[in-house]
Amino acid sequence: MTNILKSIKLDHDIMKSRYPIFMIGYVVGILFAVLSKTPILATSIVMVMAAPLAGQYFSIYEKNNLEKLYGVLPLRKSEIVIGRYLYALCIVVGNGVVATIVAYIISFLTRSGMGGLETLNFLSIAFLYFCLTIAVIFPLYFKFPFSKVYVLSNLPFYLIFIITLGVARKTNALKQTSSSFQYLSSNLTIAAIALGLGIVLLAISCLLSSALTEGNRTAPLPAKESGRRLFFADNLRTWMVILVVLQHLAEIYNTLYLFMMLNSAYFMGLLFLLSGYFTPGSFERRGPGAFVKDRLLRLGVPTLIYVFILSPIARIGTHGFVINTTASLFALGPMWFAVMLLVFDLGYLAWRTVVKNRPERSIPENHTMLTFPRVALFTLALAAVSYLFRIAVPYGIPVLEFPSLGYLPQYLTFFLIGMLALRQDWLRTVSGSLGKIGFVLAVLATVILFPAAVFIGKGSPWIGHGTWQSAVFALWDSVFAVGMSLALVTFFRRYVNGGKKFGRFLSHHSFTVYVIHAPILVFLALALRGLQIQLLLKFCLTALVYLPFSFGIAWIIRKIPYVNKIL
Amino acid sequence: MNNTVLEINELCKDYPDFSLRNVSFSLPMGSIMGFVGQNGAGKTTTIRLILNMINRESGEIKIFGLDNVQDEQKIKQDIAVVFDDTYFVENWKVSEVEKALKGFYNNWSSTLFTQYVKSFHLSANKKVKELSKGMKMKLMLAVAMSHEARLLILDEPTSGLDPVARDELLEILGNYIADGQKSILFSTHITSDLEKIAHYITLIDHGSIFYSGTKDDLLESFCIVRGGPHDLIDSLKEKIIGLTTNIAGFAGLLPTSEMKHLAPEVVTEKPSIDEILVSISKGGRNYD
Repeated sequence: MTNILKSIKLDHDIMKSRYPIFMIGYVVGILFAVLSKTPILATSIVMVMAAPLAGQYFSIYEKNNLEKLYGVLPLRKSEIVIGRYLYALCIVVGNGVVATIVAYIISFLTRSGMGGLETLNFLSIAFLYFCLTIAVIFPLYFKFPFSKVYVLSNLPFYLIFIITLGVARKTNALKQTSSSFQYLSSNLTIAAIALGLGIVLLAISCLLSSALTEGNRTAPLPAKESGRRLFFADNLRTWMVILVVLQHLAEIYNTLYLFMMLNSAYFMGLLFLLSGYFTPGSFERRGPGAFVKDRLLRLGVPTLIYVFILSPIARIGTHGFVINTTASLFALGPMWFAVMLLVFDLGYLAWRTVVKNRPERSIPENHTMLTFPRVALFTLALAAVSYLFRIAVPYGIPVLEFPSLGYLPQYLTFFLIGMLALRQDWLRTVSGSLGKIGFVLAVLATVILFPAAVFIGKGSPWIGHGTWQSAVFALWDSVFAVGMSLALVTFFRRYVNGGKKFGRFLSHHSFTVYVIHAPILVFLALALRGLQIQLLLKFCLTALVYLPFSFGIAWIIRKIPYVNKIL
Repeated sequence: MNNTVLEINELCKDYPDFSLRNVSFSLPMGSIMGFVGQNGAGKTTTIRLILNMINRESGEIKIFGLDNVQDEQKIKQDIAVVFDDTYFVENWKVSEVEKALKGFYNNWSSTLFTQYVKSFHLSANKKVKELSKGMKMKLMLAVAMSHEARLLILDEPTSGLDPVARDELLEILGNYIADGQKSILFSTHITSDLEKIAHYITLIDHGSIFYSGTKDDLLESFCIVRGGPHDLIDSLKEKIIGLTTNIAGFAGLLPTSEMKHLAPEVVTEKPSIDEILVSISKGGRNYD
């Protein structure tokens, strides 16, 4: 057995725990094949999805210090790189063969035909796509840490695949393009070109990866992570603010209802959790007097600015000068979050005063780990409290300008959990597997509990008043909120933990964007009022224009003297 | 036959914030060398260079008389490494670790591996992630010893281990070199481990070798001096390494060759490796 074969076998041994993930490709493939009555589509989808899944190898490599293992083994660097590419080829060929057999079974069961030439063309194009993906992502993974480039490296390929699939379905591209293409696809030319090109791409990429691996050997040792600032928490907060903006944009255009419901089930809660996480530190640094002053300055003053300046501007923008009451003119709007956070912060101050300002306990050596039973218990308790609370304050009914007071139990407990997370160091230590479990449970709850609560019964019994639907809904949104929070914290920690200039810029300006977004959104929507396109497209277009625009405006605002002391 | 297992000459490596400068030392066959230095002194960089995991700027590394780059594969058949943390896939069972790695080594003995697994009380069906830190270290040792490696490199294997596990490791290492054909390079900053088993010590500080030789020579070459404030004359001050002064007097490390010039009031003591390490890390600076 040569060293390259040994290297391939080792790659297989390393990857085998991830093989069940490939089932996702088969499920999606079979679904598409049956729905489109094109059985060979199953094979194409499996092969296309195999590329990013093959890249999962590098995730295991990074997580398990395999750099050291390869440093010890009697293998040349080039043998390792060649072995990795050949292993990827084995993956696509193996999955291609199995998926083709599945496609033939689908063809037999659904009685849809599967021509030999069509099959070959589909297979070869999927193979080319696989090779193209591998040819791009593997050198990136060899050069950079997997967690830094995973999201960005795969995103274009998913987009290309979705767009291609959409275009092909609409236009039947393979049959209706030019006659020369039809000629090529009627014989083996396309298959030969795709196979040849795929192999060439892999070969070039393999050479590039070898060169990059050599370059890596001059890189300094990575710095230790401990004590490092939690950039991912800042990035997560920025992302939550962006979601708030998108939520309000969707409200303006009256579209994406599911997106809005899913968002509101967790995103403000997660913002409270992150705020809770940073509150004790701020108190410790400043002391009680300066802490109150800082909170009033950073939360109170922006709220007043919003209520007395920005809100009237937004109202006049939407209704002109015909305003019925001053109440509608001076609305709290999205600043309800700042007011509620101010109340929570003052509550924290009161508690610290009661305990005679005893300093926060530092992170203990053996801190309590966040385990699944603990998380499950908390989720069930939160669901029960939410259900009981919504008997009095139903979901979606505004109270005193607080639009989602039905979520108060979640907001308060998440704020407290945030403080506990600091004490127990949970943001750093929560396991990746708990994040994955959280995501799976959030999806399962949305598929099972959400429809059961919302679509059964007349009217909207799920909003509260002690109905069984309300209990199911409370269980759903508690599972969803906890699950998504775990998933996002672990995801951002792994993949979006950069503290680069751009991320810091967004983080510094996110609260300003939060404060100013409502009036800007109103005027942007008014400006685009004449644009007669599909609502969803209009939503995407406005979002694309708005987000950079609002951060730009926030940057200008924070340049005004003294403003950055408030925002 | 050459009696030197590892020979490093004038090894240099530059990073933006750290440099390894002209590192030279050699490890004789059948012995244990303690490779000592504070965190960040350059121990792990030297080990990564020995394993050809990173490129060097200049210098030469010979292992079993062969160049570590040219003959990397041949050499690595006879080298084993135990790091501070496991480098196996955490989802592998102990038995799967063997299945994955045995194909790479010509001298791999499954019987030996099973023996070690048994004697180290490792369960073959347990996953790597389920093992304690001490057990993970033993698993790495089992792998290292199952292919009869002639050079065993240990990179901070005892950090994070309790005293019982550390003692067990020292016993295992003692048995491993008993045949006189195997050698160990033991990098650590817990020097008490080395006092028990090391034959040779190499002290590295800020990327340069401070001392390399036998442990006994090291301990005899230096002494700890202590005295009152008036005993610290200028000529003595210049010679003391890692001088510490306070109102009660002074203390520091002095080469034994300088002992004859000492005033009778100055007390001298035999140093421990730890004390030598602390003193050289302070260097010539005066710590009040």
